[in-house]
Amino acid sequence: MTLRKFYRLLITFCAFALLVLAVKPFTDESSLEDSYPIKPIKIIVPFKPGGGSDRIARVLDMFTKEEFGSSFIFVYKPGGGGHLGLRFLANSKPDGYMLGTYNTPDLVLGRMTGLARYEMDDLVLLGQIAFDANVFAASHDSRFSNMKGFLDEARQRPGKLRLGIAQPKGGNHLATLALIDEQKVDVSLVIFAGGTELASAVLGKQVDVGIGGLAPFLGSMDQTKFLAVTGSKRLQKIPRIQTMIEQGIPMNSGTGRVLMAPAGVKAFQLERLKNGLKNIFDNPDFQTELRKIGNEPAWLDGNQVTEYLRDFQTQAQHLLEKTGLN
Amino acid sequence: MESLLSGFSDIFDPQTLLIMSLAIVGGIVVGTLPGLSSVMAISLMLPIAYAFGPVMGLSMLGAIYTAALYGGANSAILLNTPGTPSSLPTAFDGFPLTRQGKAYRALYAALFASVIGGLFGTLVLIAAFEPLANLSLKFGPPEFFCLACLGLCAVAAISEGQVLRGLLSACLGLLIALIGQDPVSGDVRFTFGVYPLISGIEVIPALLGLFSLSQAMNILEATGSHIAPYKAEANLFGKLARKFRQSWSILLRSSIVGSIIGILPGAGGAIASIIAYNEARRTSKDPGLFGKGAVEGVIASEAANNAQVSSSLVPMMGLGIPGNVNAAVIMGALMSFGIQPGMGLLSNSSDIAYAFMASLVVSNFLLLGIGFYMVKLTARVLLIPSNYLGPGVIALCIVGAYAATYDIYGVWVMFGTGLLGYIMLRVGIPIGPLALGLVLGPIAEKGLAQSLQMAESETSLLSFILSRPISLVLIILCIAALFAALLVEKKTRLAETRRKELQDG
Amino acid sequence: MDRLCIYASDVFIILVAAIAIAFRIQTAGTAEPFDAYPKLITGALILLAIGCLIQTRFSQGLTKKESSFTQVLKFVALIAGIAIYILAISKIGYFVSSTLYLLTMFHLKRYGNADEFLETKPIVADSLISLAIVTSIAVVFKFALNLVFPESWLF
Repeated sequence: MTLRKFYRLLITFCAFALLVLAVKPFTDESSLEDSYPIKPIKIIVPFKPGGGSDRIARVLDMFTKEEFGSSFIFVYKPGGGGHLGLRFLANSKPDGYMLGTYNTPDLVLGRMTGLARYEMDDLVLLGQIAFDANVFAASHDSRFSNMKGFLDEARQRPGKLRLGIAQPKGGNHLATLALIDEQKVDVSLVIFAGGTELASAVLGKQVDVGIGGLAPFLGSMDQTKFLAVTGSKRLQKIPRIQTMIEQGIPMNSGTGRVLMAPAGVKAFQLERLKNGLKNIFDNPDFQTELRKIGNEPAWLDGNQVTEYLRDFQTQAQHLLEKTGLN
Repeated sequence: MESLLSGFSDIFDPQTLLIMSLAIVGGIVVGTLPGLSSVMAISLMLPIAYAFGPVMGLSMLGAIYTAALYGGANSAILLNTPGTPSSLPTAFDGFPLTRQGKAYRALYAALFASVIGGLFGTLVLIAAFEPLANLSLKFGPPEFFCLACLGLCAVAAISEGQVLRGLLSACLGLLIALIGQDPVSGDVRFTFGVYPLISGIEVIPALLGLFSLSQAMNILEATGSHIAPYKAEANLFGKLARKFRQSWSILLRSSIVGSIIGILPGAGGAIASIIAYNEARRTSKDPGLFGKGAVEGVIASEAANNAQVSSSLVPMMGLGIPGNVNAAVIMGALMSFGIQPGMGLLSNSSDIAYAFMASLVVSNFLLLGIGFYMVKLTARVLLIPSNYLGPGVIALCIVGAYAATYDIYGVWVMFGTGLLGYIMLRVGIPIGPLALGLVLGPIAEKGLAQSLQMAESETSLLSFILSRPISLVLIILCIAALFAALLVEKKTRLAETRRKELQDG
Repeated sequence: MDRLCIYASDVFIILVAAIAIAFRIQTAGTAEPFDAYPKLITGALILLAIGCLIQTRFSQGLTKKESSFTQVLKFVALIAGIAIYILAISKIGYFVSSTLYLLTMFHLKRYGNADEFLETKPIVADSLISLAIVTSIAVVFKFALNLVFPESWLF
């Protein structure tokens, strides 16, 4: 290489470096107190688009422009039952412009089942916006009329009945295993990869009964027979269906939807986010929209959720060892 | 019927048509760019769809979906990179055609076949989505396992002359698909300590690597100035019209295959297009031409994957159970408009439901018109000198690979599979079956694991299988497919000798 | 078979079989019925590998492609280049790395011509083209589609 060529190479790199330095200030973010948030906030949905979490986040997004100045930017990062996306959130820069959504109690189960590679301390809980009990569902012509009947028959014919579960290693799975253990029945469990798969299986009679969220069944209510609700009170959309407790079976589980931010976000940003979230929640239109898609609004602030999770963790530890899910 | 006609009149206002046209353009661009998926585009446009209201918003989303599935053919034909897994078989014959200077023939054939398939699928949707949705429920885990096997048998059948290597490649794809979480038990396996592998080898980065990156490496190494000659063919449309007339049975068969498989929730477009491709090859007079530039292959694959677009909406509209991610996002849009898809759709919101279905029909026609002009634009990619195209494609693929996983890990997956694809090309093992194995693997695994769980409640595995007629039919079809493959081999050899005789005599 | 040649495809197939065996060993601890499918696949793969190896022994018409040392070197350099590019993306950021990579790749093609390599006009032309490509990617993907791009030290 001649000297002249070498100089040209040098000049090219210098010109390039100058160009980069010139553009760089435009790419930096600022986080001034009174202008936060000045640009759109990203929200990580750790599932595939179109799922339950996505729909709830979209309902939230209908009100973010009003509250925060611009709509969310959706980032889908499925994998590891959702924990891969949460790890991404935990490792991201805590600049106040990245949030995530997930479910409880599955959130704490991640670490305990080995699916999660982040610590709960890496995330800050902003609040819970919905809580949905699960349902036990069967095809409309099923011979069972409630869960008590199903469990009775299961006791008489061990292993002959099929029970479908919507998501492996989640709160649902654990609660069902606890139920089976406590009731001392032997059913054949079939695990499906999500609520919609479970719904098709229940409707298609691939399983006798399935446990999952109510939302996937909303389009086929006349073809579904609901046997029980797993929460502490009945669901609005199916008011005649008893809870498990009413049927004399101790089971109280459900899925809460929470929003989180990575730990390290500045205090004033956290304050703004939490208040904003509560404002959106208190909006009656938000609650109507949420009910439209089959979910039930229920507010808990960040500290309350953390407390709930801590209680759950202690109970679950023992159960996980017993059922071998960890 | 009147509701359908009123649906059409809802669509035929200038604003809606304009939005749909723009959506078609956007959809084609998204489908053509390797690594970008229709799901990305649809979820991005959701807030805009909300603002437009149900009729315009849903028409827009449906148009994007239709156009994006067609768009995948462009990159498959020109760059040997399927834009979506369903366009995989299009590359088998599309790219050889480009190499022979017949790119325009392949591109237009893909467009016309897509439109015809799409219209067929939409007619199926309109005519019978409620009964068909209920029919789709009869497919349970055992049926899905057998369907995946059928797809793999089709793959084996098309690896002409090197069936063992084709099967090896497909099996390798199935093996790679094992990495990550077991889709049923949730257990993590085969990650060998690398945490990001928990989500497995994702399909889009892997496809980008296997096809796009290995192709780019080929381009960079090659000495030619362009990847393929850019030639306009004389009397192209006359020849194409004749070809389409001759292939009417292929079009019909592929559209039917696409429509049926599209209805099954979770089956996916790749199964549809590969089975359609195999069928076209099986029934052709000279199967040996497939894989070397037979337009029939492009026609079969594209008709099937666009027929699958509308029929994938069947379980969503009939039961509120989305069959794939695209349908799920569109369902989300429907629900936020206050429409509950499923049993009550036609009684409660028939006007919007029919308007949506009418819009799908119109989308196909708009696709025909707009796609026609865009083909000229996209074909000009061939004019770019290889020196610039190679690195440019690499930079672009990285965007797609990163966007699929939001992690640099996706780019490394692309790099790894790119290397693998390149080595396999050099060593003489086909890469198409590997890609199909990767796509079909989770379906097969879920099917088998769930079937075994279900069989626990039966007296024996055999009695379980015998109690499921659809599975038995599918198993027979698998065996038939393998036998047919042998017959096709014979047919190919006969045609070969006939061709030699013509040359010598 | 008169001579025992080992083809490149044999090496590849043996590697594949080895990986399948490694996977098979890992499946040992899985509970039923989740071990059925992995065992099926690994078993099938090993059988197919053996089948392919046998088939190669009896087939004719396998060409031996000669690769010169410079070709292999060029290939390794290309691979290394891409790997460095991806590392740069994760450490530096997508846009800066891509512009540099494109510029380098475009210009290296001119290496043979002494009157084009590192001359002002070609450098400017290549720089402009790489800047144009990266800018259009930025506009279409980052600003219109709002995709997330890797950024760390620079952009």
